[in-house]
Amino acid sequence: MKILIVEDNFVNRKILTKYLSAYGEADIAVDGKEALDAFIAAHKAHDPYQLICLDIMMPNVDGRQALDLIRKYEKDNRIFNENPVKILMTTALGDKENIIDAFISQCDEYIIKPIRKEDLFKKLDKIGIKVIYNN
Amino acid sequence: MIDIQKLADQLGLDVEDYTELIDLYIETTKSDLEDLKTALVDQDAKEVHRKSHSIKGSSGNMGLMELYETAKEIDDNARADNLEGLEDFVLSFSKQFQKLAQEIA
Repeated sequence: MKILIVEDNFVNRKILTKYLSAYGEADIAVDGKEALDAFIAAHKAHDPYQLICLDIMMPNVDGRQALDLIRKYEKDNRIFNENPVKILMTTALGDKENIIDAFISQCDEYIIKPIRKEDLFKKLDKIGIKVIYNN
Repeated sequence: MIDIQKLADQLGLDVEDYTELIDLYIETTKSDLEDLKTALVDQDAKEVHRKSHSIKGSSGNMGLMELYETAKEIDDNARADNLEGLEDFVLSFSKQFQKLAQEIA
Protein backbone atom coordinates (compact mmCIF):
# COMPACT_ATOMS: atom_id res chain seq x y z
CA MET A 1 0.00 0.00 0.00
CA LYS A 2 1.17 3.51 -0.77
CA ILE A 3 1.11 5.88 2.21
CA LEU A 4 1.87 9.56 2.64
CA ILE A 5 2.76 10.90 6.10
CA VAL A 6 2.33 14.65 6.43
CA GLU A 7 3.91 15.91 9.62
CA ASP A 8 6.25 18.80 10.37
CA ASN A 9 7.72 17.27 13.53
CA PHE A 10 10.75 15.08 12.89
CA VAL A 11 10.26 12.76 15.87
CA ASN A 12 6.55 12.33 15.12
CA ARG A 13 7.35 11.45 11.54
CA LYS A 14 9.67 8.70 12.73
CA ILE A 15 7.08 7.31 15.14
CA LEU A 16 4.38 7.20 12.45
CA THR A 17 6.73 5.64 9.91
CA LYS A 18 7.56 2.92 12.40
CA TYR A 19 3.90 2.19 13.14
CA LEU A 20 2.89 2.23 9.51
CA SER A 21 5.65 -0.11 8.36
CA ALA A 22 3.09 -2.85 9.07
CA TYR A 23 1.00 -1.44 6.20
CA GLY A 24 3.54 -0.55 3.56
CA GLU A 25 6.07 2.02 2.46
CA ALA A 26 5.45 5.59 3.52
CA ASP A 27 6.54 8.81 1.83
CA ILE A 28 7.00 11.97 3.84
CA ALA A 29 5.78 15.54 3.38
CA VAL A 30 6.63 18.25 5.90
CA ASP A 31 3.72 20.61 5.24
CA GLY A 32 0.41 20.85 3.40
CA LYS A 33 1.98 22.31 0.29
CA GLU A 34 4.39 19.39 -0.08
CA ALA A 35 1.54 16.99 0.64
CA LEU A 36 -0.61 18.39 -2.14
CA ASP A 37 2.31 18.31 -4.58
CA ALA A 38 3.07 14.67 -3.70
CA PHE A 39 -0.62 13.74 -3.93
CA ILE A 40 -1.03 15.29 -7.38
CA ALA A 41 2.28 13.89 -8.68
CA ALA A 42 1.24 10.38 -7.59
CA HIS A 43 -2.07 10.74 -9.43
CA LYS A 44 -0.37 11.96 -12.57
CA ALA A 45 1.92 8.94 -12.41
CA HIS A 46 -1.19 6.71 -12.08
CA ASP A 47 0.11 5.43 -8.76
CA PRO A 48 -1.99 7.27 -6.19
CA TYR A 49 -1.74 7.06 -2.40
CA GLN A 50 -4.23 4.86 -0.59
CA LEU A 51 -3.71 6.52 2.78
CA ILE A 52 -2.67 9.99 3.90
CA CYS A 53 -1.92 10.71 7.57
CA LEU A 54 -2.35 14.44 7.81
CA ASP A 55 -1.23 16.61 10.72
CA ILE A 56 -3.42 19.68 11.31
CA MET A 57 -1.05 22.27 12.71
CA MET A 58 1.74 22.87 10.22
CA PRO A 59 3.48 25.90 8.72
CA ASN A 60 2.59 27.28 5.25
CA VAL A 61 -0.45 25.25 4.13
CA ASP A 62 -1.94 23.57 7.24
CA GLY A 63 -3.67 20.20 7.42
CA ARG A 64 -7.21 21.48 7.06
CA GLN A 65 -6.34 23.53 3.99
CA ALA A 66 -4.50 20.56 2.51
CA LEU A 67 -7.53 18.35 3.15
CA ASP A 68 -9.79 20.80 1.32
CA LEU A 69 -7.38 21.06 -1.60
CA ILE A 70 -6.96 17.29 -1.91
CA ARG A 71 -10.72 16.69 -1.94
CA LYS A 72 -11.17 19.53 -4.41
CA TYR A 73 -8.59 17.95 -6.72
CA GLU A 74 -10.39 14.62 -6.51
CA LYS A 75 -13.70 16.29 -7.28
CA ASP A 76 -12.35 18.35 -10.17
CA ASN A 77 -10.73 15.27 -11.65
CA ARG A 78 -13.74 13.05 -10.96
CA ILE A 79 -11.69 10.76 -8.74
CA PHE A 80 -14.04 11.11 -5.82
CA ASN A 81 -16.57 8.42 -6.73
CA GLU A 82 -14.04 5.91 -7.93
CA ASN A 83 -11.09 5.91 -5.63
CA PRO A 84 -10.86 8.66 -3.04
CA VAL A 85 -7.79 8.50 -0.81
CA LYS A 86 -8.39 7.59 2.84
CA ILE A 87 -7.35 10.48 5.04
CA LEU A 88 -6.56 10.16 8.73
CA MET A 89 -6.09 13.49 10.50
CA THR A 90 -3.60 13.55 13.36
CA THR A 91 -4.07 16.29 15.90
CA ALA A 92 -2.85 17.54 19.25
CA LEU A 93 -4.68 16.86 22.50
CA GLY A 94 -8.23 18.16 22.79
CA ASP A 95 -8.28 20.20 19.63
CA LYS A 96 -12.01 19.67 19.23
CA GLU A 97 -12.79 22.51 16.89
CA ASN A 98 -10.18 21.34 14.42
CA ILE A 99 -11.59 17.84 14.43
CA ILE A 100 -15.12 18.98 13.70
CA ASP A 101 -13.80 21.15 10.89
CA ALA A 102 -11.88 18.20 9.52
CA PHE A 103 -15.00 16.08 9.32
CA ILE A 104 -16.84 18.82 7.48
CA SER A 105 -14.01 18.79 4.95
CA GLN A 106 -14.38 15.02 4.58
CA CYS A 107 -11.55 13.27 6.29
CA ASP A 108 -12.19 9.59 7.05
CA GLU A 109 -10.95 9.41 10.60
CA TYR A 110 -8.92 11.36 13.14
CA ILE A 111 -6.54 10.40 15.92
CA ILE A 112 -5.39 12.44 18.87
CA LYS A 113 -1.70 12.62 19.79
CA PRO A 114 0.18 11.04 21.50
CA ILE A 115 -0.64 8.27 19.03
CA ARG A 116 -0.74 4.78 20.45
CA LYS A 117 -0.12 1.96 18.04
CA GLU A 118 -3.22 0.04 19.04
CA ASP A 119 -5.50 3.08 18.59
CA LEU A 120 -3.97 3.83 15.20
CA PHE A 121 -4.48 0.25 14.01
CA LYS A 122 -8.10 0.28 15.22
CA LYS A 123 -8.87 3.52 13.38
CA LEU A 124 -7.29 2.21 10.19
CA ASP A 125 -9.23 -1.03 10.45
CA LYS A 126 -12.41 1.01 10.82
CA ILE A 127 -11.81 2.75 7.49
CA GLY A 128 -10.98 -0.51 5.74
CA ILE A 129 -7.19 -0.48 5.87
CA LYS A 130 -5.62 -3.75 6.97
CA VAL A 131 -2.19 -4.73 8.25
CA ILE A 132 -0.09 -6.35 5.53
CA TYR A 133 3.12 -7.22 7.32
CA ASN A 134 3.12 -8.76 10.76
CA ASN A 135 6.24 -7.39 12.38
CA MET B 1 14.44 6.76 37.00
CA ILE B 2 12.89 6.57 33.54
CA ASP B 3 10.98 3.37 32.85
CA ILE B 4 11.59 2.67 29.16
CA GLN B 5 9.57 -0.53 29.24
CA LYS B 6 6.53 1.28 30.59
CA LEU B 7 6.81 4.14 28.11
CA ALA B 8 7.25 1.71 25.21
CA ASP B 9 4.25 -0.32 26.38
CA GLN B 10 2.11 2.81 26.57
CA LEU B 11 2.75 3.55 22.92
CA GLY B 12 2.57 -0.08 21.85
CA LEU B 13 6.20 -0.24 20.74
CA ASP B 14 8.87 -2.71 21.71
CA VAL B 15 11.77 -1.45 23.82
CA GLU B 16 14.22 -1.57 20.94
CA ASP B 17 12.05 0.68 18.76
CA TYR B 18 11.33 3.04 21.61
CA THR B 19 15.03 3.33 22.45
CA GLU B 20 15.82 4.15 18.84
CA LEU B 21 13.13 6.85 18.84
CA ILE B 22 14.16 8.35 22.16
CA ASP B 23 17.74 8.70 20.90
CA LEU B 24 16.34 10.66 17.97
CA TYR B 25 14.13 12.64 20.32
CA ILE B 26 17.09 13.60 22.51
CA GLU B 27 19.20 14.65 19.56
CA THR B 28 16.41 16.74 18.00
CA THR B 29 15.26 18.30 21.25
CA LYS B 30 18.81 19.22 22.25
CA SER B 31 19.12 21.31 19.13
CA ASP B 32 15.56 22.73 19.41
CA LEU B 33 16.25 23.70 23.01
CA GLU B 34 19.40 25.62 22.04
CA ASP B 35 17.40 27.48 19.37
CA LEU B 36 14.64 28.13 21.89
CA LYS B 37 17.09 29.67 24.38
CA THR B 38 18.57 31.89 21.67
CA ALA B 39 15.10 32.99 20.57
CA LEU B 40 14.20 33.86 24.14
CA VAL B 41 17.35 35.97 24.55
CA ASP B 42 16.43 37.70 21.28
CA GLN B 43 12.84 38.14 22.58
CA ASP B 44 11.59 36.59 19.33
CA ALA B 45 8.14 35.33 20.36
CA LYS B 46 7.40 33.76 16.98
CA GLU B 47 10.54 31.65 17.08
CA VAL B 48 10.02 30.76 20.76
CA HIS B 49 6.54 29.56 19.78
CA ARG B 50 7.85 27.59 16.80
CA LYS B 51 10.54 25.81 18.78
CA SER B 52 8.50 25.15 21.90
CA HIS B 53 5.66 23.84 19.74
CA SER B 54 8.01 21.38 18.11
CA ILE B 55 9.45 20.29 21.48
CA LYS B 56 5.94 19.95 22.90
CA GLY B 57 4.80 17.80 20.00
CA SER B 58 7.64 15.34 20.14
CA SER B 59 7.66 15.13 23.95
CA GLY B 60 3.95 14.34 23.95
CA ASN B 61 4.27 11.71 21.29
CA MET B 62 7.10 10.02 23.12
CA GLY B 63 4.77 9.86 26.14
CA LEU B 64 7.07 12.15 28.18
CA MET B 65 4.24 14.01 29.84
CA GLU B 66 6.23 16.07 32.35
CA LEU B 67 8.37 17.51 29.57
CA TYR B 68 5.25 17.94 27.44
CA GLU B 69 3.50 20.00 30.14
CA THR B 70 6.49 22.32 30.62
CA ALA B 71 6.91 22.81 26.87
CA LYS B 72 3.18 23.50 26.61
CA GLU B 73 3.47 26.34 29.16
CA ILE B 74 6.21 27.92 27.05
CA ASP B 75 4.28 27.37 23.83
CA ASP B 76 0.99 28.77 25.15
CA ASN B 77 2.67 31.91 26.48
CA ALA B 78 4.80 32.52 23.41
CA ARG B 79 1.78 32.09 21.17
CA ALA B 80 0.03 34.79 23.20
CA ASP B 81 3.14 36.96 22.69
CA ASN B 82 3.98 36.79 26.39
CA LEU B 83 7.65 36.04 27.00
CA GLU B 84 7.77 37.33 30.56
CA GLY B 85 9.01 34.80 33.08
CA LEU B 86 9.53 32.10 30.47
CA GLU B 87 13.20 31.74 31.48
CA ASP B 88 12.04 29.77 34.52
CA PHE B 89 10.06 27.33 32.41
CA VAL B 90 12.94 26.94 29.98
CA LEU B 91 15.32 26.30 32.88
CA SER B 92 12.93 23.77 34.35
CA PHE B 93 12.56 22.05 30.98
CA SER B 94 16.35 21.96 30.54
CA LYS B 95 16.81 20.31 33.92
CA GLN B 96 14.19 17.64 33.27
CA PHE B 97 15.58 17.08 29.81
CA GLN B 98 19.19 16.77 30.96
CA LYS B 99 18.14 14.27 33.57
CA LEU B 100 16.42 12.19 30.90
CA ALA B 101 19.38 12.45 28.52
CA GLN B 102 21.77 11.30 31.24
CA GLU B 103 19.59 8.36 32.16
CA ILE B 104 19.32 7.25 28.54
CA ALA B 105 23.03 7.64 27.75
